[in-house]
Amino acid sequence: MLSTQDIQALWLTVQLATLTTVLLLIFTTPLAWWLARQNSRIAVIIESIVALPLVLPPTVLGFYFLIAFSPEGFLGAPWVALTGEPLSFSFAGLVLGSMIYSMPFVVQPLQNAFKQLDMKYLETARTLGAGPKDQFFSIVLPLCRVGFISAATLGFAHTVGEFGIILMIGGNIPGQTQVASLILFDHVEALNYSSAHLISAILLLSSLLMLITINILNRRALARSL
Amino acid sequence: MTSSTSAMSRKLIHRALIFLITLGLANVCLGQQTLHIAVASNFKSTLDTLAQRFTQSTQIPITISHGSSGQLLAQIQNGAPYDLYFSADRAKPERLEALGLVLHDHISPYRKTYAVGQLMLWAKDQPNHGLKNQLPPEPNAQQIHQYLKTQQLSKRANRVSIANPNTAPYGIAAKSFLQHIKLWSVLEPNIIRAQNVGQVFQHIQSNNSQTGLLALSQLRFANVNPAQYRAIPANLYPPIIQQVVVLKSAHLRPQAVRFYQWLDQESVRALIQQAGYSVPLM
Repeated sequence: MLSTQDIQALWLTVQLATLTTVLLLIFTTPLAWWLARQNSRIAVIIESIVALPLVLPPTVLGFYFLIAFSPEGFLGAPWVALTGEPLSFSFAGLVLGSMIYSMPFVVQPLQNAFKQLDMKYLETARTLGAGPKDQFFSIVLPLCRVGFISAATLGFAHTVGEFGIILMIGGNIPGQTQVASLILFDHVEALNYSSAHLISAILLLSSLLMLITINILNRRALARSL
Repeated sequence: MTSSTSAMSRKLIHRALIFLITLGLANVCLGQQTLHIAVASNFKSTLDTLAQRFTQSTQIPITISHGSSGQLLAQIQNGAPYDLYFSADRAKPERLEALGLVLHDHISPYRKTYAVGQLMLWAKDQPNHGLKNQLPPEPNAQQIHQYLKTQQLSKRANRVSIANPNTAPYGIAAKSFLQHIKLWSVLEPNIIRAQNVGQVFQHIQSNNSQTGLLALSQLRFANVNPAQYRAIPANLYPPIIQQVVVLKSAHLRPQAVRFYQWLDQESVRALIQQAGYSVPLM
């Protein structure tokens, strides 16, 4: 029932969402930590900037990306100089766009988890001679496990659901930028409803499964803390 | 976590509220006496002009919804309250007719060609490309083939944007043109599939693509310097026949039929031609 192009698009979506989520977890963990520990005005401003993709229409982001990613744009030009390839209509461009689009979904759960972390554990660890790396991997990561899992799952699911931005900066190239949400849109446009139904159902079920996972984990964590 | 889920549910509630308010406003604006026309994006700006003229002379207000022909078709099949539908092709109006959704008089259905689109090649003037000095004003297949091939070889990232060849009428025409001049497989890795011709325009305008195949009407509407574009000879792609229908579900049947017939007036046909289309012989 699924054509090879459909499968290719679904696989590309998984790759995009995985890469985006991993990169976001790596790069935004320090940011979330800093936001959780800061009460300055600048932290409030940065927190708001991070939350912007929640409220901005994706088309606004897509439009800015289209300009920034062009070979003369402020992100596109250095990228061309560095790699020789244009950033717009490329997989790399999609990853970058998705990272910004999904950032709040990763930062916010992490920030909340870090806020609830009792600093006494870290102080004790420090007095016992644990370095920052050891403190992070032995204390922060296990204690904030649920936060990390939520961040990863929400980031992944939200990237899978991305459409408006990819429609503008993707270029719909099979195997490179044609993700599931785009091919679904094409099927609907081409009145190809049976394929559209199938892909929709796959996306619906996988999203539901991811949310169920988060909610089970959250409930368990809550039960344990009571 | 809790705050991000509540942020998400807040977002949902916001969206739902906005949706309901829009729905309410739409109902007020689209009161009984407004003619509601659905139009394919490429003809939107032209129809705006036509609608203004029509309203001036008849006092019948018009509301225009635009989108891709496919989207609009899906909406109509699901009961969208349009009186007329201007498609960018012939297949979709025919499909509506086959489904029995087109209004008939006692002889024939209200379906006809209102415009024939013209496919254009557009490249902005830039040091390495731009077609001003490389293509004559009316190039033939051979010359366009040569031009596109040279562009392709001269620059690694020379992209050609076309509308979606599976769904958009201008995309179908663009693909069959490139196949006809035996360049489709050569160019394919560098072909960017925009959702519609509107996006093709954005790609070129923002320098994300160097060459685009799109509609003359867009270039005219945006006042693009004619030195930057060339017509693709009409014998190199299947004609982009754009048809209109009056829908059986029309709330304002007489007014819809009046608009449909008004399209045949010589002055209206002249406006459509000025916008960048050819019109069928009467």
